[in-house]
Amino acid sequence: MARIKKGGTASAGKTVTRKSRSNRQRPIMLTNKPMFVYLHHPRRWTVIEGEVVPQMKELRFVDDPNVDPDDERAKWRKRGWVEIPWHVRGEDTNYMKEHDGPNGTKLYLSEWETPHRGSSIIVPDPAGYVKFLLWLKSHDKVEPPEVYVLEDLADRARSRFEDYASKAALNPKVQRLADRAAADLSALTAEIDSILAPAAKKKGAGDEQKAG
Amino acid sequence: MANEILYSGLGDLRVAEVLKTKYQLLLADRNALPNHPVLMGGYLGDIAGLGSTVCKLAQLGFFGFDDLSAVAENAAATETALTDASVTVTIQRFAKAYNASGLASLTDSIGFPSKEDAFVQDTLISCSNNLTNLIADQIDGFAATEGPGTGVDLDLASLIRAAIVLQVANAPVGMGILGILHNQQWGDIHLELLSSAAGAVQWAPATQEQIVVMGQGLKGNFFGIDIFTSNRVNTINAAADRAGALLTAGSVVWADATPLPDGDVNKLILGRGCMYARDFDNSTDLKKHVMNHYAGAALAIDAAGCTIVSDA
Repeated sequence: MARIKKGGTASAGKTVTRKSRSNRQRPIMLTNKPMFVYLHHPRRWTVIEGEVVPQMKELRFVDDPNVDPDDERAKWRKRGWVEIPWHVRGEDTNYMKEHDGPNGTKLYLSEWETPHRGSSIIVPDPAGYVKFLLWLKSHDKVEPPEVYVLEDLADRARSRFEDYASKAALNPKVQRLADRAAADLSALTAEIDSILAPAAKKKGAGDEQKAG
Repeated sequence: MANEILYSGLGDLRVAEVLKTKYQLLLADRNALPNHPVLMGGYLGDIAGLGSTVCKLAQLGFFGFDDLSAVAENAAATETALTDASVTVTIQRFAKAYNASGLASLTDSIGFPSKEDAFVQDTLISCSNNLTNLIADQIDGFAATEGPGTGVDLDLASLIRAAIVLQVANAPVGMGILGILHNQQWGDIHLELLSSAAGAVQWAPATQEQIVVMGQGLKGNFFGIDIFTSNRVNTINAAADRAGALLTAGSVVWADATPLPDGDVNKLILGRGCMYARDFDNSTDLKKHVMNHYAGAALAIDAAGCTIVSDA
């Protein structure tokens, strides 16, 4: 007598057992992640992990022979964006990493994004990403920030701090946000000072020479 | 006690599973972009049959763009340099296909994959999702950004500040301001209202009629901003944050190209660049269902939009 096997499908003369699949065997559940390059606009700066860093945009390319990626790049360049090449840190480096996606597709994420099988969650590595952004900044791969851009960011951080600080007494949860806004403000102020100080020093030296 | 009739012993009289005549849809973001004036105004039209995959929109600095200058009573007026620019939208093909065997179809008891209307409906939903993806790929690229700081939940003040940025930049708010936010960003706004905002909030939730017209993603009007949520909003800062945006008319433009009817009964032209086609192979008894979308989008007037960056 044929017996029914739980979790299986009985068919003529045989029992097919459906294998369970652990998350390790399932694909990364992300789609629509084609190849990309980082772009930076001189006005886009932010504070991550207490550091003033450029804020990137990912320009993603669609695999279409009728679309020239250079045309897409040119469109953004025309607007003032600067491209960060894949091999910016040397020929054997690439900030874009390839992963296997569902149904044989390929996914492209940055090296600071870790996808997980059976999930659409991406775990970021902010510390590593900031290190990369600081490298770009120190090696002049992006234009240095304009003071007016940083002052605008500092104004917003100050406004956030004042807003949160006024509410912190009533709601202790807001204290954390006030602390964060204060830290951002402090980083921005230090960055502005570091830009203005050498300029003021230079100006002062010039004045002394004139006086001499 | 040896001849009981037990379920476990009825291998030839019972089956392992019975299939219900309905199925459960697996979860996906299926929220179509709203029929909002800001987006409808950015539609450049259908460029099929016009000789190119690239559609160009001229931009002109006129009708009050240049101010008058004071000139002496008897002096000649200085000629003003006309400001012009342009934006191009490139139409691309996006497609997917399913291939179903005859045996898979003839054993169907749930309406899939034997019913072609399911594939046609999937085509429409997929094309709509694709348009959302195309627009989401643009809105993280405005030069102006707002937000409470990377890794920090979106707050009401940042949303309002982004609207101020647009108005200071002369963005046309006459057609309204459209906010496209990730559901996490929208949820964070809700949490903030719950925990810290005081007093009455100017929020008009979407009515049933508005949702019918604008789609499921519409959340309502919040301080003069029509909020639409989509989980297709891109990540930014190495996936630590999401990049939603506030848009006004002219910030993003898009176009499509709809294939022209050619008499082939195996093609169904659905409009707005969408086409479903079936391809039956007699030798293998396989029927391929192909879904095509011909569309493109581009960021047009940079200052007419503001990217909103907050915790993912």
